[in-house]
Amino acid sequence: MQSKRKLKAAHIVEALQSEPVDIHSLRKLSISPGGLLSRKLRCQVWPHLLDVTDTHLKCPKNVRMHPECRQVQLDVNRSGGRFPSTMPKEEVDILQEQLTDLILSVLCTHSELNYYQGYHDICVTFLLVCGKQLSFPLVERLSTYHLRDFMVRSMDSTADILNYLIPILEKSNPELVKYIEKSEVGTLFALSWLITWYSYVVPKQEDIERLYDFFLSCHPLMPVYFAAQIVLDNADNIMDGECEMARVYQVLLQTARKTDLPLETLISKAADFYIQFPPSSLSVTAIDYYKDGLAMSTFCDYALVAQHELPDAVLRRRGLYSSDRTESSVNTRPSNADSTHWSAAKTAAVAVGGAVGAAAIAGAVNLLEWAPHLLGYL
Amino acid sequence: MNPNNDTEPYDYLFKIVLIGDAGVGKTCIVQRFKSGVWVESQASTIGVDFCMKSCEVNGKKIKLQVWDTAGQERFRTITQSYYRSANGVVCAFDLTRQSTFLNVEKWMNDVSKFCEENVSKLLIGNKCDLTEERAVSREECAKVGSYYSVVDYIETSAKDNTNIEASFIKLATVLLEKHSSSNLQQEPNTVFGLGSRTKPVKSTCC
Repeated sequence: MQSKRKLKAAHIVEALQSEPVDIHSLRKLSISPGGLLSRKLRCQVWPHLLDVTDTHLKCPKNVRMHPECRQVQLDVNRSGGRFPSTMPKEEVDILQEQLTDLILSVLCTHSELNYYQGYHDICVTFLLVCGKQLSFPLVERLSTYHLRDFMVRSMDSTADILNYLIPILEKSNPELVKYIEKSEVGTLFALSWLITWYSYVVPKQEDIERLYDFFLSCHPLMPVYFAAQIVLDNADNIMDGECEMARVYQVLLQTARKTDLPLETLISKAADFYIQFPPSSLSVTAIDYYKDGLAMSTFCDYALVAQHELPDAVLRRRGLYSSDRTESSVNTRPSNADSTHWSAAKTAAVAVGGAVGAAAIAGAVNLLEWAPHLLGYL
Repeated sequence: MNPNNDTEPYDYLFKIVLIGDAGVGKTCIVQRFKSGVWVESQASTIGVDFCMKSCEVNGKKIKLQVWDTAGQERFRTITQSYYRSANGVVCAFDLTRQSTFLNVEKWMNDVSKFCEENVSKLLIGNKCDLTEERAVSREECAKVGSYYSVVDYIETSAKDNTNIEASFIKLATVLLEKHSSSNLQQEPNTVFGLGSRTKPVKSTCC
């Protein structure tokens, strides 16, 4: 076990040292069992996963004048539980001050981003792993890509993205979906999972960090695929009892909080599911499900670009080769998109596309409604 | 999870939504009521948490479903979908922060917009143990309470365990009177749904 770990660490270092950095291998290693293994390696790899080159981004001044300062402080002051219980109080105090500054720095840099309770939970993870200096450029990038949909003024896009959960579940367990529908529990039970990237619910910090390795390497919808795996893993428990909203909600709320969450299995299954049923394949189902809109196939290709970043092993296991996918991605390339987006293999392009796609596909009611909304992103 | 509560027989089931600004102590109030504990640095609630607690009023077993909502403004559109068909609302504010008291108006407006017309409301001024830091007078609070026709205005401290249980019992008693007089037994099946087909209610008039 130890030697396997050592070998993996050596592979990570090798990928980091190659010229140019082997981002493809770094992604694979981040997704595969154990993720990036240690905080030391995470500090080095996460910037690449987020395509951050300038790691010495200067923080803006007077951040505490930001109108959200009070709300941020309120949440930061109550974040004590996220720090190791062995950490001396003085140290926690210092980190909490840094946390406030980190959050407000991003908000001051991007006036278009709106703070939400739970964003601070994501920032804690970065601060613990990367320290204050490196966290700023990383969180800044993450907020403008992966988290962007959660940070627009209204939470409607977030609720729409959560609705992806149902078609994903449907692919694997239609009986469970029927049960969930009958209970009228909806998908809001997973809200805190999604917008905190599980920091709010997963009890162990090391598990949270390992999950971040995974999410940072994938499409922004991956946290929803992961949510589906948690729900599927607990299907028996969910359906064992009265089909009543409060009971089902309570059972669902608890599923992600288990201390014995089979993390690696769930990650592997979520990755598999993503390949088998990429967002583009779900959009039609999602629209069918809500019966209120058009299929937004425009953004499906972004999903396919992201697919190439998943481990070859998974692709092979599923009999899906990246070459096949390339063809289909060419075939469905939309005519109204900037073609440079499609050739870009960098994380940033995938991430932007994903975030836009998620909101657009999930939330679209009609073309007129989503078009201006979309322009805001580009 | 509380399997013992889930299976206990009961005479009445009431759904209560707990609302109010961020940091006024909503989750501490629920935790105190539910488990008798108080946590110094209670994490901010993200989205909506849920707990059940049984109590006895006038010889009747009452089961309370308490929906503990996030206080931040931007969660409102999401939490509003939980108002629908709630039997009771507990609106809490922080006695030491005037802004949270002034925002009671906003919360009560939401209640009148999204809850059933006959919902029972309770106004709670929390953190009454911090007498030195008190920012609003009891008279003012009671006045606002009666303006919004609340069943009662109660000052509480989740920290000192002052009036926490009493608040929920008060609400449960009023709900029991209301529902037994109308002879309306709460059927467990007549629950309110959060199904995504019925998207969060935005402007419908109940």
